[in-house]
Amino acid sequence: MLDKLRVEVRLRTPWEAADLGFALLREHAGAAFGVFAILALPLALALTVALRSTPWLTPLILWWLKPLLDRPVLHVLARGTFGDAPGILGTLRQVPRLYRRGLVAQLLWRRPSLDRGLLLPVWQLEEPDGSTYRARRQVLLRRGRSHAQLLTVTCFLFQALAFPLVVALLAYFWPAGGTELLDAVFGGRGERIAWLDAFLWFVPTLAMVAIEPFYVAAGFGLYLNRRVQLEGWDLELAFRLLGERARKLAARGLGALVLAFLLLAPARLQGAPPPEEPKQTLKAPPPRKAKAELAEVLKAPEFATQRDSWHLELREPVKPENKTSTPWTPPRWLLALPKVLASALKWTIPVALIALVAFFVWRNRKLILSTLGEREPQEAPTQLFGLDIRPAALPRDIPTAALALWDDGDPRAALSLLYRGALAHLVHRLRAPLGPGATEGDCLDVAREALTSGAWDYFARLTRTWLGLAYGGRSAQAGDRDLCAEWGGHFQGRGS
Amino acid sequence: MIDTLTRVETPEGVELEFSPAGPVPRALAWLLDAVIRYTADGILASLLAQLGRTGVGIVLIILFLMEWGYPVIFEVFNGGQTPGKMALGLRVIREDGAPVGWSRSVVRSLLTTADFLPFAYGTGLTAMFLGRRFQRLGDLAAGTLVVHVPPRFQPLWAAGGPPEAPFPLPFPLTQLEQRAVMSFAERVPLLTRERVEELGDLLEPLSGARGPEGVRRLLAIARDLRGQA
Repeated sequence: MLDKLRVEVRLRTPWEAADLGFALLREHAGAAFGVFAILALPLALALTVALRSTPWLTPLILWWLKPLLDRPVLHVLARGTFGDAPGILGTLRQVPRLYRRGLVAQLLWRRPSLDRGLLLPVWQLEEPDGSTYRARRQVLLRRGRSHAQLLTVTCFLFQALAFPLVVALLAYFWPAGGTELLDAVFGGRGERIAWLDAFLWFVPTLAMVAIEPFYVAAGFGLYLNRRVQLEGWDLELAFRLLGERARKLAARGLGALVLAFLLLAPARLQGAPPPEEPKQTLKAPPPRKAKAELAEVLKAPEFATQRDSWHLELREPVKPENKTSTPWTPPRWLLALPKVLASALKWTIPVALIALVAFFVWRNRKLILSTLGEREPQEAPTQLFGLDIRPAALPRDIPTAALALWDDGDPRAALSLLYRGALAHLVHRLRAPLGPGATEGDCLDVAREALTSGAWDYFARLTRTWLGLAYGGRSAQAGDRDLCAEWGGHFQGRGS
Repeated sequence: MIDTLTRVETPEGVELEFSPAGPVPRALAWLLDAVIRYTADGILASLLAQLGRTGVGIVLIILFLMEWGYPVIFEVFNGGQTPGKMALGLRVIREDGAPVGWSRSVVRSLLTTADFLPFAYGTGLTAMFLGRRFQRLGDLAAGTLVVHVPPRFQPLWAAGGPPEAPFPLPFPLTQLEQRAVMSFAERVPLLTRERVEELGDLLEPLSGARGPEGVRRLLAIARDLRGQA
């Protein structure tokens, strides 16, 4: 039976299931609404005529009789689910059979139930007996009961809204004005309008015709989803297909094995080559022809771009008219205002510019001062990294003094003296640009520029040796003594 | 086949499916939002009323901002969901599936006025009942949809006891078939035992067994497919 399903079944949330009911109703809108209207409208007319003196009773009774009208709608939807929805006539022919069972209960004690939408299909389509029904009801309502009740309340509100809605709509368009209409409808003061009253008493019925099939459909959607949930309809459909495929694959697998054996055995015996298939080559058409073909293809309606553009235009273009009315003359202060503003601007702009420049200068004063200061000669430092390099603090004949210190057994002091002397030479004689913050490495870099290459090699060796001795914890080598002798060849002391 | 889905094809050729939400959940979401909004309005107004005339001015500004900004702010910053829509599992998206931006959300929100006419959202409800994708006028103008948020991923049913021996598939399954087997494993607790075995028997060609043993093998397959130990 499930293979006849015309509805895509899968697990949905209850609200989506209600919308599935709407989709189903839309598919069978003609039959469902048609049957409902054909049954409801004559009934409403009859009741209106019969209850002329108490017109408020008509909508009330009709509202209570809704189960009577719901049944054919549900019949259409239920049959439509399996793809054989009857037309209006077919449904009408079925009506007596549809009313055969369960109608009394539905009209009496089951009428006020808020779960009505969800249980309607149980009452009508499943028709269970006492104890079965109670069990069934319990199972169905275990999940999604609140949705069914909210659905009932919401649809009731939709129908109840119809009356004020129609009155408001009429009030907007009432020729004599909306308040007049409201008076005529609600107030005692105005003149009552007979046809308006009759029409307004009919509005709830019309709203019912419009909304009730949606309610039945949404309830049916909830019911359907619950069945899918409880019975796994979608699983059954998918499993049937998969089982079929598995069976076919198994059969084909066996068949293929037998076939392969039959075919391959003789072939291998005879050693015949497999038959070659004729080669098929897809030849591209020549470029010019291709272009023509392309144009032909692009002419097809699938590739066309059609655009409707709408814009409003005046039927008669507006002509410039001579205005007869006196133009508005602004007050005097308003006329003077531009002049005042202009003269104010004349002074404010230069002042603002000057202020801006001043601000800019003040803000960057450090940068400006430092660029100015660079031109002044730099004062030679008196000491570098803690070493005193004032010429006055050094002996006249540095190499001899260093040799003497070395021979006294103080190579550290000797090298220190040599290094200081070299630095003093760099700073004071060659005017090397060394600031007080320079490091030994800076000195080497600066010396590369200032000294000849032989002198620089010596200076580098001296620096390395001194650093090793002073900070590296290295002891003096005998070869380092040559440094004292070579010093004089590259540097000059104070005196020499 | 009758379905709730609307399909959108992206420029990359990917087909996206959305399920537009009908008037019933949307009306309920609106009701919930209205309750939240007016409660907040009331609390703020009663607090600010202490400030006298200044307070009244501030309250009026806040009322204006709440009325027009509430849906927009939530829709833009909360993935298209106001609190009411979150509760009902709804979401606002663009017609092409992208998130709603400022402009569309503002258009939607402003046109609630048109949907309200003549009274109590009469136009909006009528438009929703008539349209295939349940769009009110604001949605039509802004090019937006209100869709159901798809249900969450459910854990596989823990069969109880230690994990069973895996069962090798005799042939590879298509994506739809895999989904069906996994969905079966998820929904075993919702179905009766008899129905579970009935469904399992349908796949006898695959599992090679009927009854409880067949179901056990299918559950093992599902666990393998999901990569769950």
